[in-house]
Amino acid sequence: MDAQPPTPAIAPARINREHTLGLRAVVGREVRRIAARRTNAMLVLVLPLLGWVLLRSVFGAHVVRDLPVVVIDGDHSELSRRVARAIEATPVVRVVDKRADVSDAEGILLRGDAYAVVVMTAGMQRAVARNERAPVQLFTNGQWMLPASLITRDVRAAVGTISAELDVRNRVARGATLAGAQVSAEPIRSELHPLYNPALDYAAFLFLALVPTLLHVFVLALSVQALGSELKDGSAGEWIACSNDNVFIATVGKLLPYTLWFTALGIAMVEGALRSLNLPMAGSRLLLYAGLLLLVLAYQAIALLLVAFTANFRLSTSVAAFIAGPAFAVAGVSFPRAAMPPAGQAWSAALPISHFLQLQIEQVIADASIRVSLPLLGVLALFAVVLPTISLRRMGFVTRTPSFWGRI
Amino acid sequence: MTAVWEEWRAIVSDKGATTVIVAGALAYALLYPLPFVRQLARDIPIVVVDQDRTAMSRQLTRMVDATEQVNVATSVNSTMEGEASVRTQRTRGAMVIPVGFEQSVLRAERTIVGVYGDASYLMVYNQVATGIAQSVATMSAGVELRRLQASGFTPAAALVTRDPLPISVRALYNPSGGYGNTNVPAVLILILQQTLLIGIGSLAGVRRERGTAMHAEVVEGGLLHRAAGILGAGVAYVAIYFVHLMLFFGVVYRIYDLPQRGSMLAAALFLVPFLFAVAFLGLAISRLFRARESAMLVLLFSSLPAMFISGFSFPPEAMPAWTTALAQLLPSTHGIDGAVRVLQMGASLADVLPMSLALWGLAGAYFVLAIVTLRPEKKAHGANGPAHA
Repeated sequence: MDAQPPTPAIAPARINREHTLGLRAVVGREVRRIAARRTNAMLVLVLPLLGWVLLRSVFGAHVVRDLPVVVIDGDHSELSRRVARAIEATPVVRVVDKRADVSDAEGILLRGDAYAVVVMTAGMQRAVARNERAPVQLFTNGQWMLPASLITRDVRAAVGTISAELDVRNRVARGATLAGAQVSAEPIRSELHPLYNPALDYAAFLFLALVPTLLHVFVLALSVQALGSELKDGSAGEWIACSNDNVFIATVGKLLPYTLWFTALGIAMVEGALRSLNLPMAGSRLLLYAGLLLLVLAYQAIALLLVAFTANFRLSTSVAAFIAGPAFAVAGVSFPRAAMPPAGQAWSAALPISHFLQLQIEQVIADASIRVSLPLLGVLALFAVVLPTISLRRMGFVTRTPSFWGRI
Repeated sequence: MTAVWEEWRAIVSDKGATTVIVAGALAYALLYPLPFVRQLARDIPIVVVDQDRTAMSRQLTRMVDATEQVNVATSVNSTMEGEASVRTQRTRGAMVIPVGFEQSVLRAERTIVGVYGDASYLMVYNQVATGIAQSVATMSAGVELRRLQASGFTPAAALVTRDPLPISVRALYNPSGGYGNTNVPAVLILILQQTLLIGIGSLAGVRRERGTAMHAEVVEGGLLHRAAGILGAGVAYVAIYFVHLMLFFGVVYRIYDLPQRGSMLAAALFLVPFLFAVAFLGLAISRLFRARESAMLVLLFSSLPAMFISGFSFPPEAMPAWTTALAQLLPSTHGIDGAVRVLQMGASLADVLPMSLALWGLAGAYFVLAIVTLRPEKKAHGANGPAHA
């Protein structure tokens, strides 16, 4: 890369008639390019909607029920049957087998016949009658975290209730009043108030977060394709010429159809998710959708950076895949960003989708004030402005240098 | 045998395919676990609204602060201040100790402590609720035991009376409840599947661009010749990915200290039909990709749905039947299920026989499908020049 050809001004200081004509020409050319390829229609329309429908069906139930649990009753007493019935009556548990043997408890978990095993050993009722402690054992499969924690919560509550009843009955038998016994059985009680999500409906929340995540994959991949294929096909010169030799106009014109389409599609998909989940919007729609537009622009800016600096379609596609593939896990929705090591936090912060998902949660669910969410919009805008600023000059150079074309 | 060599040569001679199949898969596996090394969210900042300001309320505050889950960042007097603190995200939860807290306890009345947690993030809420509720329960039990002993119970008898039917909970295979311990092993399997599918798809795209169908002489030969060619290509991919398995299990697991109760070799053996199923699936759908990049685009998109329908992060019992049926067609669904059981939990190969059979079944079905989809096209190949995707 020795003597660089003199590059014209990057961004026009004033938009004149020539620019408007150039922009119109590039947009028209891009729309024709999209229409000419059958696969593109699939990529911009069918796949995002298919993904939406699939994820909606995965998380459609809202509440998890009927998780298989095995109860091994070694006591066969009135008490043990009462415990088994109480466990069976909890919403999340479905007792699948009551005849299993305790020696098979581990096998049940290893084979995956159930997520958890409850064991009540022989002599439980007699022990309680003799005023001895008789523990109920719950073994969960900790590798399947969500089922394990839901089952633990419900089984703990069911057994705790029976234990408290036994305690109160015991005290009343010793001459306490019923009310007095109930108070002294639990002098300090904690009352849980889940804020912003009183029903603890995580399925809905995950689905809502996955919708823009799905979208960002397409925005990034298709923007890289739109820009990179000009180099690969060797049509970059023709593209720039179409804009009256202005790389700023050429880039804006090329990406604009995608910006508009994906913002509209994103709004429709998020709106559809809110409607189908019956989630009321706590905060500001305007703020959320402004964020969505900035999210689209931020990923288009990343696409521009990749294509400009690698000058290689294949490599920029691979890097884009590396950026978008693990983004959901790193974004901080399922694992909080504050709990990551510094390198992980930096990774998370470098992805625009992390900031957008935080904005979405704040606005849809937590009803955060504009002052709380505004900095997030600022960060997204920063991606959308800074990256093109540093990439456009290089993009101009690459697109005007035929030796960069057709290199794959 | 020639087919094996030829496929290898094709992979090695194409920079794009090497990037995805070798560099991509390994880089992904090495970096992905990084954010989750701390496993859990600890010391989440909360605010204590102490309306009692007594020795007992301060003791409860200290107990909560001492838990690993939460950290008392600030203590305020009014619920208004507490609410503002959570709303502006300075803290993620609040404990409200009511006026007359200590007095109620001393008078043997019941008192209620309010626990408020930001439930827009699952792990944050769980940790806040657990940290505070456990401290409250511990203090409550202490108060009750003291009362029982004051009324003549021995310490041991008091313990029984208070909770005659205690529950002991053990989360096997991941006692610490670490997030990375359960998430990373599953995702590693998905990384294997997606990179292999992308690699095969983009290689097919390159051949398509250059006008050569999948090794022309194989495709143009008879049925048996074609079957042998596809089998050979499959063997080539499985051999490369078997090395990946060893690196994932032997190196990535070590670096990130992931629990490993079972044998690495057993897990790798279990995954052989998984690799064949993925390779044949990749070959069977490879005709769909007319350019190198289209495989990347389509298969990148499929990663998220593949993860979530696999039933690993969200239970299949909560999904509709058509979704779980669709999941059965993906090698990752059975591969993740079985590999986690063998490697993380220490299950034997007999324990995971249903998953093995499903994977061999898929491998066979996709092999047949590949023979059908890779049959020679009618028109002369390469006549229409580089096709666009």
